Amino acid sequence: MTLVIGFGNPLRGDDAVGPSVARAAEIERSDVSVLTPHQLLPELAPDIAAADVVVFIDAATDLPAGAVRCQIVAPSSSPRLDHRLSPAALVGLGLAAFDRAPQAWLVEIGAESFELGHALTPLVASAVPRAAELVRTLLPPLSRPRPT
Amino acid sequence: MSKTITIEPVSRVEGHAKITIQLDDQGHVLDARFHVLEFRGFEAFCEGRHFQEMPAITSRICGICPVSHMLASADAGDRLLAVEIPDTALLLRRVVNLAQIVQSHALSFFYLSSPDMLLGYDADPATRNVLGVARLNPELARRGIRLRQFGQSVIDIIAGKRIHPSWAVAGGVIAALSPEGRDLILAGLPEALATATSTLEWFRGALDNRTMEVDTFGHFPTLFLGMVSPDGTLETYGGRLRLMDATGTIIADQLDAKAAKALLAEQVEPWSYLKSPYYAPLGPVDGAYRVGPLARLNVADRCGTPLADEELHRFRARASGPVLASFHYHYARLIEILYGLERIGQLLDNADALGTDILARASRNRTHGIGMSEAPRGTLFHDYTVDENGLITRLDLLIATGQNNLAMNRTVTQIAKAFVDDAHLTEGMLNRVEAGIRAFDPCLSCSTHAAGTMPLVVDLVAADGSVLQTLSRLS
Repeated sequence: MTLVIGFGNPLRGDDAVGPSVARAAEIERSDVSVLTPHQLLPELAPDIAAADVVVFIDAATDLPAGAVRCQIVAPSSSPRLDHRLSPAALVGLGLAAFDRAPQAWLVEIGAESFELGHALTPLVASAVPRAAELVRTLLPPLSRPRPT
Repeated sequence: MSKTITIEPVSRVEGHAKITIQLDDQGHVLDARFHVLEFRGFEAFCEGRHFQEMPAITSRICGICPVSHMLASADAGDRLLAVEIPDTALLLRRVVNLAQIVQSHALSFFYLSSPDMLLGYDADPATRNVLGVARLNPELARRGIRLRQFGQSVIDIIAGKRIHPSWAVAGGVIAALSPEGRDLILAGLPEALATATSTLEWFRGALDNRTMEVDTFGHFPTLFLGMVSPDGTLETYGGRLRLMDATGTIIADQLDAKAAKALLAEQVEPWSYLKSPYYAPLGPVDGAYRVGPLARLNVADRCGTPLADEELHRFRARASGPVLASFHYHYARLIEILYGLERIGQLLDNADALGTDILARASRNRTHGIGMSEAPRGTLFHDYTVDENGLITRLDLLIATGQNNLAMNRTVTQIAKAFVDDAHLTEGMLNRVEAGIRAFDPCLSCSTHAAGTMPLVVDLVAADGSVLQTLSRLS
């Protein structure tokens, strides 16, 4: 099972890029679940621990607007746990509580503005198709049905 | 020379605050204060909005208990319409409110407070969190995560969205419950109930080592306010309020929101955005009252569900009258989880649960309406005044955490007097001061309608007002 989690607040400008990319990837596979929460919460830990592959998608403040970055997420052993859970903290929590961690990736898109509003800024909006394509390449190949 | 200690930010509570502890010339604790530092001003910017919009707008005050605001707001709207809502709408609102209480109490207990109890108040703050719990007792962590997940899924199934739903409106609700949805909820109840009962068993065992905390974390007489049904059974929505004193004497009963609010006054302190309500006839000292799980279990005659009533019996055996120890908010929270789950099962077994008559239609018939709900942290009032077009001209939100403010300040002082002195200032002492506040599970986003995360600062201040020492910690 694969999980794609594009997270961010849809009312805070470029923070919505995670959910936007998750939707733009147009994944219609029975073995992939797509989630678009406002933020990461501990309740996601059971599903994350049960998954084989998890792709997190988030806005980044340390990248130029519209730049796309992809990195492996390793389970964190000493995460900050408060109102903002990181992907590494969540994978770490899943490992500690459920004794299992998936292969996890974080796709980040450089953001420009987190002001109130629905729209992505132009540079960030233009990066959505590229990021969506990257997300699709991270999904495991569809397994072929076995001959009967 | 006297000194003041400041704890800032206060961690693992919802919002942002600091604590100051004033020492006298001998280094003994003189006084302590819990300061709430943020302000958002919902009451001001909601003026001019239509009252039908208020359930959706005010639910944005908080991401933890949006349902409580939505339901109190819808109740105020019912008063403005001057209608009695359909039975199914009331039943479903009750179920959603109980689910809200279950998920919020699970967050408070498993994520925020169990680390203190499992790992100890002197443990390194870097590991004293839910991940530390998961490492030491994975089963407890798993149960907590899945229990909160269940509470949120009930909200999601009925209200269509687990955070910030726009489902309850003035006059009722906008969507009925499907048979599939009901069956899905009922199927999840056995595991959730097993979690609640086994966690209570674990908690009772853990209490034996917490005598000092029970005696010092806000153990004092106050009044208690909470909702009951007409026969005195615990209720969390659509009931009336009961006010009880510290000896167990009922001093007011079966109050509707308007009658209850008329008995309350508010004290404003220059050092905090959090107002301090009190029972007006007795003044701010003797009229201080507590709300929330501890208060609700003190004022109710019974829970009205079998397992929760068994546990309530054990709970009450811990005191000769009302349970006065604020540490037992934790215990009361676990009992309310059990009650909430049992009550959800009772309500959904009722044929009305699947009714489709869910909305009373009317225009505005009054210009003033006060609604209420029992939020996880206590009684929540939404008081609206509107013009002839239904536009808000005055809004007053009286929040649970604010109503506990006087008690939280007394708690901080009591803990500081027991654990803090000038010569031996340790992390463990500060942790206990912080944990005393956490027992109330304050939500500062709600109480000041403020945004923000909650880090904690403690200041040590001299008699001349100069800050001698500041300890601060990121959340």
